[in-house]
Amino acid sequence: MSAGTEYYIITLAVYFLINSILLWGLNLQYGLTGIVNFGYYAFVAAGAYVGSMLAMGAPQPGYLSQHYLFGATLPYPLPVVAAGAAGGVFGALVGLVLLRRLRTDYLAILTLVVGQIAWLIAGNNPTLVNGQSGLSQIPQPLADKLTVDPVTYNWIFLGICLIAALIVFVIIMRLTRSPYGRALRAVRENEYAAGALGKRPATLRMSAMIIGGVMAGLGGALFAEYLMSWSPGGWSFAENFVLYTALVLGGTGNNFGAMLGALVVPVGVYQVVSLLPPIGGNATANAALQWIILGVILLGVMWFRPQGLLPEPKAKFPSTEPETTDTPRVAIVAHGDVQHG
Amino acid sequence: MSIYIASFGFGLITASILVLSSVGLTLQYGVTNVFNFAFGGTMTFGAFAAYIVNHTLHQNIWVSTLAAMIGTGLLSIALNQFFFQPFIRRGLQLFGLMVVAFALSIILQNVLLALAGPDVFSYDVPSAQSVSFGDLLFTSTQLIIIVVAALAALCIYLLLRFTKLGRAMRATADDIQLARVSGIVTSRVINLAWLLSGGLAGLAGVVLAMNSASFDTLLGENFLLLTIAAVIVGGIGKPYGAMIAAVIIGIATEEAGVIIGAQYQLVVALVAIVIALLIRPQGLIITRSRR
Repeated sequence: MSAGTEYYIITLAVYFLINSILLWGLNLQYGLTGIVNFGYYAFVAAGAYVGSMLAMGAPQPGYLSQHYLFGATLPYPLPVVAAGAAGGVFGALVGLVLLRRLRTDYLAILTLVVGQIAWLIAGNNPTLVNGQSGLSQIPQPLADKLTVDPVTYNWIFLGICLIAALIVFVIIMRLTRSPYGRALRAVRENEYAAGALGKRPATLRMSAMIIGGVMAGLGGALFAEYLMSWSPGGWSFAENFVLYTALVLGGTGNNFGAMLGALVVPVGVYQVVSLLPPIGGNATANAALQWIILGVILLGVMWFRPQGLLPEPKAKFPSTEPETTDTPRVAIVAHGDVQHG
Repeated sequence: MSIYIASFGFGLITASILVLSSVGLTLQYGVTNVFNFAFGGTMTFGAFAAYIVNHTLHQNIWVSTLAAMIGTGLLSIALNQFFFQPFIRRGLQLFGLMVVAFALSIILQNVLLALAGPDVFSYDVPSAQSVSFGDLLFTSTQLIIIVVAALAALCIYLLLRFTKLGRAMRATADDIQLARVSGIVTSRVINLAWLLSGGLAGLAGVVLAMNSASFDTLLGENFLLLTIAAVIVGGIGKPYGAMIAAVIIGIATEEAGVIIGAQYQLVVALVAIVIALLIRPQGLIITRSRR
């Protein structure tokens, strides 16, 4: 296998793992708890920026260098952990402001707007995170400790992503298949009933925002470290669309569906379209085609199979029916009472 | 001081275009309960349709505008009939419709991108003369835009208030079941509402393109957030509220741009959305209750 092919496959695998992490977080917020967060990618960006800044070191003064708010050179894996925390904090802030009792579509618009505000401020303020140019030359984890050639390093990075994805996977599965997960779903289905049963919808929703935010931040930091750069051009609103298409296609509410979505959409659709020859001699047509296909997929899934390829597993309850049905249910006792057996 | 007056002028023009686009978007929401994200793409479609008629068929810009409005009206009806109504009949709720609308907007915008390419375009219009009112400086094109917007707002008002179709549209927007029971053929009224709002989208797209030196396929999308701001601040589904909010937001964003920097103009409108939805989701504008 040539180095180029090897690199390509590793890239696909890394994209799959990182997008799985992102989609598990989104699934927690939207799939399990029913929070429509159209600003999710801003959480991802928050983690990406923080993780990068904590690995890049303090900003150097001078006209030509990158300008950002703070920096440090923390040893790995601290930047990534901090990135997760940043995502969680961002989630908490957004949740504090927005998670009142808002209708779904209002919440969708609000999260979209908040995401756009973050995007505009990050892009237009040159001192915050270096504006439109974004951060670049982001050091990769453990790159300075291990002196290996780039190809071997990619395998190491893949290993790091694998470990991260495994950790997140274990956490998310434990959360989903627990009383907490069931409480989240109860809030999604009928928050008043859940409240009447003693659950606290506001707290549960907030926790979903925070935990989902942590995963978003984690994924974002890994992404930024892989790409070695991160700028507003890479996290526009349309990226949310990719994630939602992936989740809806794979199966909303199902963590394996999230993985399937991560495989099919960011990896599958992008790669298939980039392999096509330029159509009509117009290079932008191919990029546009990617998005058109994504839109058509989303419409198709919403129409033909809204629950997605792997639907959310239905809860199974033990049957409360008696095993034998030989004796009739109603027994009439001697003195005329009717008893149900 | 004069920069504030100049911004006021810019704000008036933005407000004029906003009046057209926000009334269109809010009409669509009123009768169908869907936040039509594809509205931006419809505006862009209108701008390009006018470009084709203007540039390739060598018609003057106003004929092209009319052609564009018809085109966008038909496009909007098609969007409603072939996409939104089937999903609504399926029982898809608010958020699902929003997802569908967004998918449609992505498709529409990228089809335009694939066909037109990343280039910029501009109309063949006679060069405009400047007109000044004291410190305010306008080109004749901009004055025409303001007049057109005011006329359109007046026509909408007359339509909604005095015609049978207008009353039917208001009834459908208020309570669709009751409207049906009263004998209104709501499916036809809804289609007509989409035709009308589609026409407004086309008009808005063309004047927006006219106001800019050149335009590309991102024209409508960039303006969509401002439009959404005007719709929400005015009250979703309320045309009069949208008109007033359009003027407020148009002028406020330009004036604020002077203070905090032009690149943050949109942030002002976005913050207005957040405040409006948190404090008073039915809209910050209080309109007299219609009898």
